[in-house]
This record gives sequence, C-alpha cells and structure tokens, in this order.
Amino acid sequence: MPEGDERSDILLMELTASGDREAFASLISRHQRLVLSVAYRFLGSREEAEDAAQEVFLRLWRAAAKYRPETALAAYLRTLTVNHCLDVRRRPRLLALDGGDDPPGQEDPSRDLEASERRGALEAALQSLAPAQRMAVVLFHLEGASMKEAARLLQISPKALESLLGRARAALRERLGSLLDAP
Amino acid sequence: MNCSSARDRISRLTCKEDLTSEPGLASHVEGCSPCAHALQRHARLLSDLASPEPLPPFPDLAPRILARLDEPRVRRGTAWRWAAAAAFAVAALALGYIAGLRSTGTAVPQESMAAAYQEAFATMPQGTELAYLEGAGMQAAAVPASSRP
Repeated sequence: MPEGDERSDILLMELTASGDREAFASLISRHQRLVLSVAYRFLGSREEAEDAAQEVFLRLWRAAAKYRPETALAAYLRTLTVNHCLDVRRRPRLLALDGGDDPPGQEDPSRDLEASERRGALEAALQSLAPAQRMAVVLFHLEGASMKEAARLLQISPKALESLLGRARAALRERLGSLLDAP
Repeated sequence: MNCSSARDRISRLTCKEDLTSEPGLASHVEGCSPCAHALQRHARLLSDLASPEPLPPFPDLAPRILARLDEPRVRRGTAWRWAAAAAFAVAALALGYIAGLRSTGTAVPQESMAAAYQEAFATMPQGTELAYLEGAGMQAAAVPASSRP
C-alpha cells in the first residue's frame, strides 16, 4: 500500500471499480478515520465500529462501478456509514446470557463525578438515546455536519432535524442532571 | 412565554449566541430562575458536545478488509423471508379455517386440526414452527400432539 498516495479519490475509485486492490487499500487508509469516527461515536464500541467500517468499505468495493464522481467520496462514505449504523441498531440483538457488563447508559449518571469524568457520563447518556436522536447528535454536534448535510444523511427535512436535535438535547440534559452544574 | 415553551426553545439553541435572536426567551429567562438554570445546563451541555473525547487509536483496516474481498457474498434474509412469509400465509389460512369452524360452534375434529397444522408446519422453514406458535400467542400444548414438530 503506497504511503501518501497522491492520486485523487475519483481516480482511485475508477481503479477500484476495475479490481485494483492497491488503489482500494489507499482509499481505505485515506478515509477509514471518517468512517470509524461516525461508527464509533454512534455505536459506542471499538469492536462494533471496526466491524461497521469493514462492512462499509466492503459495500464500497462491491458498488465501486456504480459510484458517481459528482458526489464527493467522503460524503458517499458518510451516507453508507450512517445507513449501516442505523441498520445495525434496528436489528434485534441477542442478549448475552452470561449477564455481561451493563450496557452504557444503565449507570446512574447523576453521581457526584469530577468534571473530567463528565464526558464518560455524556457518552453513556448518548448511548441511552433512541438511534435517530443519537445519530442526529453524532452528526451535528460531534462530527460537525451542517444542518443541511445532517438532514440529508438522516433523510429528513432540516426542520424535522431541528426538532429531533431539540428532543435529544432535552433528553441528555435530563439524563445528566446535576452533572451539568459541576464547575 | 411560559416555562414549557421556554424549555422547548432552550433545547433548540445550538449556541449561546442564539439567545440574542430569541428576545422572548431572553426576557423570560431573566425573570424565571428555573429556566435560567435550564439555560445554564444547556450551555454546559453544548460546551461538552463541542469537545468530545478524542477517538481511540484504530489499526489500519485495509489488510483485514482486503482479506475479505474474496469471501462469497451471503445475501442473508431475502430467500428465507419469502419462504417464511409464504409459510405463515398458509398457516394463517389453516388456522383461520379452524377459527371459523369454532365461531360457528362447529366442533373441529382433531383430525382436521392435525391436518391443518401439519400442512402449515410442512411449509415452514425447519425450526421455525415453535417460533410461529409463540408469535401467534399459542403454546405448543394447544397443537394436537400428532402434529407437533
């Protein structure tokens, strides 16, 4: 895999569509952080984020011939990632029978924690949100997407996104409670 | 503006500066300490969201992904779903026939019930029979013994 591959995304995608694995490897290296960032912040687990990223890039490989260069590859990958992550959370999940660790969000975040640990409570609170709310917060607040872009990725209107974000923030405030009063 | 509307408006603020474009909210908050407190918490939440935990380090996924390119692609679900849908439709018709007989007070011969269930189970993907009964709110004991999978 070439270091610092200077070739453009469009060229690399054309090569990928023709079966060039080296070009595809360059694309992965160049864009995996973008995919992993959305997946990790939404799914809340490194392992799930890596699994999701693999699936997203495999889809990219299979659909490379259909890719239209009018859409920036980063935006296309972000779309694939959002759709895949929401699908993952929609599937019924088998519960662990061995009584494993409580999933994030089950702890009581209103304990008296230091400010530096508030972020951990925020992560747990994020995981307790409904998938659509969580993805809205991830895209708009954590990934820095614009309202227009986030609405496009969620396939809702900007007005609906504003409402969704409002409910998500209210839920987070409720969940974090007095932790938000800490200096 | 009442507190309920104020709280809704507060939740929609994406930054502190938004307050200047909400004169009604600003004046309500000035005179309402619970809402002022809610606004303070909201500002803290926005601040925390603006500085999330950095991503943990991830390995280069390319070798792992490239190794999977030659895996046969398994399209899970599609054929199975069609088969299951067809089987459930047959089962629903069979059970509907039985329910119809019962509603008219007609005694349903055990043989008929057994035949109906056997026909339904025969068309179901293996292993789904019990799940079907449970999904229909029925227990296996309700099914004639001769027909149980």
